[in-house]
Amino acid sequence: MAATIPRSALRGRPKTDADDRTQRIVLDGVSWATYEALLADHGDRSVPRFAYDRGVLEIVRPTATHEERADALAAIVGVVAEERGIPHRSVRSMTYRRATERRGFEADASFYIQTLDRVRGKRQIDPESDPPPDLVIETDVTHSSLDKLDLYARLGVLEVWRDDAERIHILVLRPDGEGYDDIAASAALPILTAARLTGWLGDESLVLGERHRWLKQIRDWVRAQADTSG
Amino acid sequence: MAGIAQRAPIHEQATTPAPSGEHRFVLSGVSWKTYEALLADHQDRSAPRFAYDRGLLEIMSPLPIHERRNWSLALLVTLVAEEMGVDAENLGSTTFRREDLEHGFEPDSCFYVRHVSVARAKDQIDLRFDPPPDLVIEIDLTHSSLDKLPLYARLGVPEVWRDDGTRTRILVRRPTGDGYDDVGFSPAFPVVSADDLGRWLGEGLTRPRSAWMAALRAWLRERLDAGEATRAMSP
Repeated sequence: MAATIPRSALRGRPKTDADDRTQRIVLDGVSWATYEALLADHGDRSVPRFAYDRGVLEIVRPTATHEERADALAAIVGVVAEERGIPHRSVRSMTYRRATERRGFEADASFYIQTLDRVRGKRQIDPESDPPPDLVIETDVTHSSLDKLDLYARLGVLEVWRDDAERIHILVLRPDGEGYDDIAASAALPILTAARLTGWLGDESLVLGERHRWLKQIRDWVRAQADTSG
Repeated sequence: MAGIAQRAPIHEQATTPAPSGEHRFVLSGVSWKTYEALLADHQDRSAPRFAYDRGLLEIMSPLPIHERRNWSLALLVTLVAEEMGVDAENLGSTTFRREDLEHGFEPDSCFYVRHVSVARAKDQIDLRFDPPPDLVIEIDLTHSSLDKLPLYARLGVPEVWRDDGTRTRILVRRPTGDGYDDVGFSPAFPVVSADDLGRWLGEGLTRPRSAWMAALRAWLRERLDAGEATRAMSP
């Protein structure tokens, strides 16, 4: 007795919890050429994001929540830079990869601030001669099986803001380049502390759609700092 | 404000348990060349397994429960074939692909039964000239977002045993080749029904292997003897 399965039963299965979780897969034994072929197929798409470390490839599709938090942190950088007149470039999830190191990454957000002069005016950044972004933002690190900090350190990223789901950590590259120190205040934007970032990101108004007020509050705070300091 | 605006703490996602069964990731816009490059990088490994359908690439990395179900079903096939006196060759997670159709897959397990001589005679199977496996076993505990049945159908796989963790279905390719029907009994191994598969798989996961194998053999013999007796009695 043959019973035909409705096509829908096989194809469009109900959405499960898994759909709301970050999708992530790690492959090892991936050649540099294959990594480059995958990047080429994906052109300028920022999702999913690829990170590569000497044969190990991690592919991540962040959830909307993680994207929203990364975007909020990037907005803070924008407001502070604007209010304080700090020149910078925002290169979002730009792929930064160096063939000689066999390492590459795409962060949730990335900025040139301290080394801006070295990439100023460049439409195409050449990772073999140009520096990596000075500040990268990572909002989903809880289940990463690839040591992203080691990857960033080897490529010389000066500062990483990490959202570990408890709080925001500001990690600054050690002078010897061998790793990061979890410190209180940002090196790129010294007015900002990890505690303040954590507080802002925990603000309910963000998820309630009051982002305009949330941003204004941050702007006002930055201005107030300027007033008191000078 | 609908959608992402939930009052629940943003952090709670981090505590959601990891998916059980297997990790799956589907990439779109992947060229055939890139798919082949990934296969070449992984040619000596059975995991992760790649499936490709015209630009869509699924990467599946099995967890232990996935492999245990897979191995139990594959062992069951081996025992059934042996008891039936049927020659069957397990080609495991061999890569099957056809560039002209831009289709490719690596099953959890697969068997050549009717075309066993093909599997035994050839080092390389070329689906343009050679038949596909007669039976493919697919474990899908986390609901693949790349439906592989149309892919199997286009590549001509006649029979698929698909296990979703709660039941094992026996799916048979329609004569029109446009999909599969859920049937009660296996055409390749008519001695077993879908219900039998579910039951023996369940036992295979809990009982000691040798006891399970002995019990399965005894059951198969009884079943086959009964079948012969029935046939002998019929005119």
